[in-house]
Amino acid sequence: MTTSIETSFIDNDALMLRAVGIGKTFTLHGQGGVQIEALAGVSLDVERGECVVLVGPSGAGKSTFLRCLYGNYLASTGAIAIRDDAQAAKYLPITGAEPRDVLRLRRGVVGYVSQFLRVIPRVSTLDLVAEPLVSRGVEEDEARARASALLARLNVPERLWHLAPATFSGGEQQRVNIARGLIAEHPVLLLDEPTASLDAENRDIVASLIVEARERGAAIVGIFHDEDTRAKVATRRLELRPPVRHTAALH
Amino acid sequence: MNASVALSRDADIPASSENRIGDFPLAVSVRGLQRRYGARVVIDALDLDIQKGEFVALLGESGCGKTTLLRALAGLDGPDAGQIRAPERPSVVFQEHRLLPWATLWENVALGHEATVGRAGAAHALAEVGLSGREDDWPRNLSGGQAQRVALARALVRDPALLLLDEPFAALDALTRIKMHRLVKELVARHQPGVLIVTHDIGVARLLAHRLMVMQGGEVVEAGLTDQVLDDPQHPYTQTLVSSVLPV
Amino acid sequence: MADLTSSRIDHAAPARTHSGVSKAVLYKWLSWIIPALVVVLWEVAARTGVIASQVLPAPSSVLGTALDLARNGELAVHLGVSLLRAVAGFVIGGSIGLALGILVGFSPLAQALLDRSIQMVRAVPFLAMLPLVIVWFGVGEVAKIFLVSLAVLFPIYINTMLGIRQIDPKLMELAKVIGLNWTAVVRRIILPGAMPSILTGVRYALAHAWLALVIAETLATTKGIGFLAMDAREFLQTNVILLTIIIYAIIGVVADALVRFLEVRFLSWHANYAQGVHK
Repeated sequence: MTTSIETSFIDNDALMLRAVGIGKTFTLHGQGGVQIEALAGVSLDVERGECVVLVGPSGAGKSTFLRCLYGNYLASTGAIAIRDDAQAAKYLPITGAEPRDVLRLRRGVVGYVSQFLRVIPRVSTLDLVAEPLVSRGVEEDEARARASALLARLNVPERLWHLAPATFSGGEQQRVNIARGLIAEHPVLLLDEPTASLDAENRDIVASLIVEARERGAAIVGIFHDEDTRAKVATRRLELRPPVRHTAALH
Repeated sequence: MNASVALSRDADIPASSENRIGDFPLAVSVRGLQRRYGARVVIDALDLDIQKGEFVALLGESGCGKTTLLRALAGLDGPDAGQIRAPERPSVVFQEHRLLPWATLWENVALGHEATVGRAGAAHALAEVGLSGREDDWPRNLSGGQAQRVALARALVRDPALLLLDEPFAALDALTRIKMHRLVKELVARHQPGVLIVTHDIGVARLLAHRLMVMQGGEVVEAGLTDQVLDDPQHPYTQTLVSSVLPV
Repeated sequence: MADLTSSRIDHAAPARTHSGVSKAVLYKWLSWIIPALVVVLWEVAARTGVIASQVLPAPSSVLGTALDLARNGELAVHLGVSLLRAVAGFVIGGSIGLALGILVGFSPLAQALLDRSIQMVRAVPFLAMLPLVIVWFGVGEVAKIFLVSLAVLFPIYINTMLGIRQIDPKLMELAKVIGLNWTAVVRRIILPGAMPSILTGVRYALAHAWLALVIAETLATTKGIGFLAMDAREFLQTNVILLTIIIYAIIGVVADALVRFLEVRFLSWHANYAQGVHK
């Protein structure tokens, strides 16, 4: 595995994401400065049409790794680069990038589906799901139409579309979350346990959506807690082990 | 003590190559700002750049200097040392609406710019904040939230390069506050000024801001992407601040 | 539990009499009944001799005198001269008071230098001033106008100063941020903001001016309502005396109405003066 990024994105047109030697150590100042090492030396390349499933025991840092890739967590060591055609070298180094550039990438390139739905209160489900399209310049009506189609596909009943999701069940909220994350068809997708609170039928639907994205050429990194889904979507697996020197589990 | 004070205020910061970061022109630029109250240094050696279209939240407890910084940017209090390059007329929304009670709503919105904005422009701005048709109404007939909306309209009516918000929602009830958040989000997306909001409310920062700066004791102790600073705080003070709030 | 043995009658609708006229209008008419009744009784009493005509002439006699004086032009002359003195004094005293009030309102330095002196002069009772004024200005027009000006100056000065002082500093900050120039600040913020206070000053000033005029016109003069009253006293023309008193009363009412008009014109935005509230 090479440790430099430099011309990789120019040389390899299919390369969408490269992470090299990622480590993450949390320092909890409020608790006497205790340090928790969540990741150590993880590297990964992802190309178009690949779906890399992260596997490993609880506490291995899978979720932490995803959040470092998204820029939500600040990686302590290593470098993360995502394809960005606006740059001369065709990639943006997430670590140390201008917030404005990371946000631009999040709008157009990198999608993220977290475990939890965190949204603005009192906004309707339909508007929530349509929003990623609207913020990319899609006409409101068309955005709403596409959102409706996706919500229908995910078995979210139509009577819920004009309500805010705060009162929905866990499974319903998660499906809204997934719709919001997948609707813009980002070239890079980061999925953190998207099927955790779903029943078998809905898990299948989500798996199909992911496979479709993959076959569209998206580069996907995901964590799935059930083997069925993993088998369906994965083209590759990456095993993470908890770093040797850590004092407490942090997932 | 080397106190070089340079305060240059143009209509907007001139668009030249040193006034841009990447593709985006600067709305305001601060270098080495110092503000003192008597002998007490409230802000020391502060640097700040905000681009047009960028939404920056300044987070901190009372007394950390965030309002002092905003007032310096607004031109209300001069810097004691350092350089500020800011538009001559930044738009400011204060915590109180500060509407003239003896002027109608449209007169309030167009205040100071009657020639360029006029009644029509003011009416349009009022419609944008959801108060269409009430141009000739009086401030005394408005609720707190409505009055603050008029203040917003007044701030945005001439498409400013820099918008300064000083805890603009603090005096409103929770429900009105939520509506105002969404209104601000829409208006800023449409007009694209550089925005600095001073707040102690983490929810507002998370919802509206691209970038977050955490202030303590007159210093910026941490700055970065909003959700990164809130979800993965590095500085001890930020960690305390974030953990003291119930997760959203 | 307890039975409801009586029921309340709610008066939700505006009360109406049998004939359908609203209460407000009825009460307005009622308020005129007493004065009208008094005038009628007075007339009857005077005519039948119950009250001596020297003591209290009949209203019709007073009216007759008024018409006579009006017809031969005397009323117009005296009224005109009095009004002229009042207006001149008001304008002079008012302008000086306004100017001083603005100056002291804005400048703590001016306040330190001027306010105490002004307050000391104000404390001197009016009648005590009179002899001094006579010594300085004699008993001509100047003296009379001077007295009226002095009476007007103080209320206007104080209320202008206070009006300017209590302008919300937050609005001044707003003006600075918006970049209003000096004239705009005065026109859009200071003047409207100080107006309620200034108009209060005007109200007081009008009352004081008239009082001053009455006193001033006791000085030697051949014209004016005060002269008319003094002259009538010399010749025991009680109906003329009564007329002058009535004239004073009418002018007082008119002046008050004038101020009310100004308040409506300039202060309709203020909660206390608003004509009805609409939500």
